[in-house]
Parts: sequence; structure tokens; C-alpha cells
Amino acid sequence: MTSIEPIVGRYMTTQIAGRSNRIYFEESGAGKDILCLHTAGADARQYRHFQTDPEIISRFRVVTFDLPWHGKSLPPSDWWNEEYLLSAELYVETVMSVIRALSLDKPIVIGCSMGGSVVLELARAHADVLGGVIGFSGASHVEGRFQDWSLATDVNSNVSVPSWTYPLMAPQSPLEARKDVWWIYAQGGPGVYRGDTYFYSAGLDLRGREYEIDTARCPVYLFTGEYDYACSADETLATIAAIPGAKGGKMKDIGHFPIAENYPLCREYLLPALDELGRRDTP
Amino acid sequence: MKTTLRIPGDENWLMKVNSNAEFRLASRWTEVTFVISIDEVSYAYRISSSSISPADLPAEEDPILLQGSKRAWHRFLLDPPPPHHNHVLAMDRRSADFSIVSGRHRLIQNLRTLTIALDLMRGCDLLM
Repeated sequence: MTSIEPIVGRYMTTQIAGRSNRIYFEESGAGKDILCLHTAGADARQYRHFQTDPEIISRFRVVTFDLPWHGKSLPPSDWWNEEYLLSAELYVETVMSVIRALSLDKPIVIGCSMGGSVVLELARAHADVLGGVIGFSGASHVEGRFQDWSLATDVNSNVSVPSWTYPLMAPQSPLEARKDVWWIYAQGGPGVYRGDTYFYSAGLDLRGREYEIDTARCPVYLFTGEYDYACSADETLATIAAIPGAKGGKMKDIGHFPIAENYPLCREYLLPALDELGRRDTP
Repeated sequence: MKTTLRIPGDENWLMKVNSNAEFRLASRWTEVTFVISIDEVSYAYRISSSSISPADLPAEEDPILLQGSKRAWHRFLLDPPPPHHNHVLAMDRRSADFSIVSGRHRLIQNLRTLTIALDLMRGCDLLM
């Protein structure tokens, strides 16, 4: 029995920080624009359940994309002569380039892990072109995730990187979904997970600057699972408390990859936030 | 550090690991010894060619040494384990009474098979 999902994928070539990049992106649904950001070292396959949720796609146009160097988005030319390290500036510029290239109309931006942190900088610096941000597993600053071992010549990073991120998920999350997350990580390019965690742990620090985020212009929702030990739920709660008007909280029985590891449970937190953001556009 | 060869009641655990399909596949080329230390007592196990068995404490300078209090290990063994106690990496990061004392690089090299083996400790009535 064959079933075809409502996701359509295409490629575009666009300029990001002065370099030509061929980006793979996917769309499903129709309505208010949502842009989804995947986690470090992974790709937009993490959003497969969200992209095919009938209730979501009946109201929203869901757009996902693979960052350069990830998934079906190859690295820019001359990549073999450079070390991949994702800076906050490049990450923000990449997201904004995709928004401009696809003419997204005040999109709601959803991100997880490094994506859950970059949404804070997006809200701070680009509030007026966004419809709100929802971050999972992010905070003003996350310590300790940038490490060099994945490039060691005696480490099989295809196995060690997914095994390193696997325990971040709750044991209660469905096994099939957790293994999907493992598999996606197993397919990352050499040094890409490391380069992304450079942003996650070394590239972004908004501590003491949370007040610069104006949630009246760009609402902020942050959620973190109680099993997450990379960015703890308490660290996210502290960030929420520091941003005037931010909402969100701790998620029970779930870990670092809520939308991928247990979408039905994640949905219980995500849908009310989307409902609130969706109502902002209703006269 | 006192030494003891086997965790009391480990027979069920070892049988479970050695008959686990994913473990057998993932550990075909694995050759690693790791030490579980509970309070002051240490137990060594070796994974070799898809099989786990009790072992002598390794002579190498930098063995994989997973050291925790009885409290920490008891919480690890609960099913389900509470937050931040579901894996040695979680406990090392977030628990004051647990540490990956040494052998971190070897642990990472063998993380997939060690994760499977340690997760299978749950439900085995290990007398820690």
C-alpha cells in the first residue's frame, strides 16, 4: 500500500553572506508561514511529523530547509579548504536569507537546540519581520557542547556522534522515533556537528542582554524537556524569566529533541503556542 | 580502591546483553573493558567480539572508569530512570555524585555498544 506525503522538496540557489549557496527546502500546507530550524549536525528530516500533521498544514504553510553543509544542502564551493564553524552572524544571516529568498511573510520561526537558541537572537535583531519564535532546548547560553573528539582519526563519528546525542532523549520517547534521530545524526558530514556546536556553546551568549528582546514586537516561547542535560529545563526557565513577556516552560517525560523524539507529546506544548501566535494576525 | 570481580546478580544482565540483537550487531568489532565503580567497590567487564563477560581490572593507565555513589547507580537502574540519570553522560554532566573519571575517549569510541549494554542493566535485579 503506497502513501504519498504532502511534503514537496525543491532546491534554490541564493546568496548568503556574499557566497552562493544551493539550499534544499521543503513545503507543506497553506496559510500562515512557519519556518523550521533543525538541530546541530542534523537536517530538516527532524520535522517530518510536524510537516505532515493535518491540523497544522490546514492552517499553516510549513517550510523547512537544510542549512548549508547539512542534509541535501551541499557546502558552498571551496569547503574543503575551510574549517566549518557556525558563527551567530552567519547563522542569523542564513535564516534571514532564506526568509527573503522565499518571500516568507512574517514567519513564525521554530527551532530546536542550536535552533532553539538562535531564535532568541532572531527575535532580538529582526523582531519586525517575524511573527514570533518558538524555541525548544535553547537558552541565552548553553555550556559545554563544543568538543573536538568527533574529528579524531580514531573515532568513527558516524556512530559516535549519534550515540553522543541519543542519551539526550527521554527513555519514554518512542523507540522508533529515537532511532530516527540517531540515524539522521549518523549521516552528518565530518566536523559539521562540531562546527554547529561552536555556535551553540561558544557563538551565542545573550546573558544580561535578554531585556533587548521585545516580546510585544516578536513573541517568544521557549520549552525544554526535563531529560535534556545539554540545555537543562532550569536554564531555559531562567532565560524565560529574564525576557520580559516570554512564555514557555519545562516539558515532562521528554528530552532534547521534542519535535522529533515524541511529536505527539511535543504537540501538546507546541499547538497552544501556535494558536496564540496565529491569533495575532486575526483582526 | 577495593576490588570485586562481579556485580552481585549480574548473570541475568550478561545473558540479556549477549542475546540482544542490536548489541551483537553493533559490537562485532568491539574490544573494550570498562569499570563500574559503586561507592568504593569496582567491577570490570569486557566486551569482545559481540560478547560481554566479567573481567579483571584493566592494567592500562586510562581505563573507562564510571564512578558513582550507590544512590546515583540506583537511580540509573530505575525503569524509567529519572531525568538526568538515564545515561552515564547525563549523570556525569548533571550529578554531583557521579563522574566519568577516566577513559572518556575510549568511552566515546565505544559509546554505542556501551550504551546498549548499560541500558540493559535495568530490570535485572542487580544488587548494587
